[in-house]
Amino acid sequence: MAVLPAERDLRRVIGDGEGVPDGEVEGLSQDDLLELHRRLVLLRTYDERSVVYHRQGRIGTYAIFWGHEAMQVGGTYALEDADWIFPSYRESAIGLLRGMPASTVLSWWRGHPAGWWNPADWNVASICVPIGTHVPHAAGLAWGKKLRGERTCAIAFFGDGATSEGAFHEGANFAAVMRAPVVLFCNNNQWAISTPLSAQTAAETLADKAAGYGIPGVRVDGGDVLAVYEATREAVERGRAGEGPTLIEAVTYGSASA
Amino acid sequence: MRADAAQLMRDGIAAAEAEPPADPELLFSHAFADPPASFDADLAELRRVLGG
Repeated sequence: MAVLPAERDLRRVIGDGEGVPDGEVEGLSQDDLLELHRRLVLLRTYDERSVVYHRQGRIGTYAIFWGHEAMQVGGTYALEDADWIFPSYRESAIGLLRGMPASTVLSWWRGHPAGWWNPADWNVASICVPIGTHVPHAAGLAWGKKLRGERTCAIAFFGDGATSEGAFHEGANFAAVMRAPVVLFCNNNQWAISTPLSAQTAAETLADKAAGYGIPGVRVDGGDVLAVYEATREAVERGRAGEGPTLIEAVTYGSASA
Repeated sequence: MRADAAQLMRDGIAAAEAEPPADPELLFSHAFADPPASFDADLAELRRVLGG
């Protein structure tokens, strides 16, 4: 299969009301759009309340994801319940989208054992705090499911800084060689804590790195839940069809403090 | 929608804070294949310090 250069233009569905008109996503009903909105509101509310909870000293630490909601909602809405999610600490509340109780996630931030869960209960892996080390886990699970003849996919969420880590390279390379059905979802918010993207990589785009693994790389507006959904759905379909992983670079801006 | 999410958070915070304190042994029980000889005494000392 020929390896094409990564897409560099940002995919968008939601227009800006001026030069870029609104687009459409095939297969989404009005109920789907309402559900996407409900999930966006849920994550934003969780995030805002958790920041306050942290500032009150009731949890020891907290990773804000303000502005990441559309990536998490759109990316997971393209999955089936049997598909596995591998979150980083920036996606701490993603289990809520699978019905996990808020108390479980909040207990995790409190360092309480009630915050541990059986990943198989929700098909949500443990929140990964080390940078990028869950990428090989996701690749391995996806490959294992493929070997068993199951149609399950996996998605790994990570930040722009993770693309400089060895674990990201190992996981992406392994997934590509084994044609593992995994979506490598990079939430590029331009900042790895305090390191700007310009000091992170010499690549013009993070999606360009996909070419080195022989897989498709796409860029999408990370604030456009519909574009994220559509790009992830395509990636999942590729995975289920035996065509291996896709690297999605969802571009946003880290406008909240780390 | 916003009110529902806020209520979910209030309920979640209340439930999380209602959890009884964890047994400090949990921190160590999975850490050692072969606990050191002083483990039981050290744990008893930790519990004494924590007031448990």
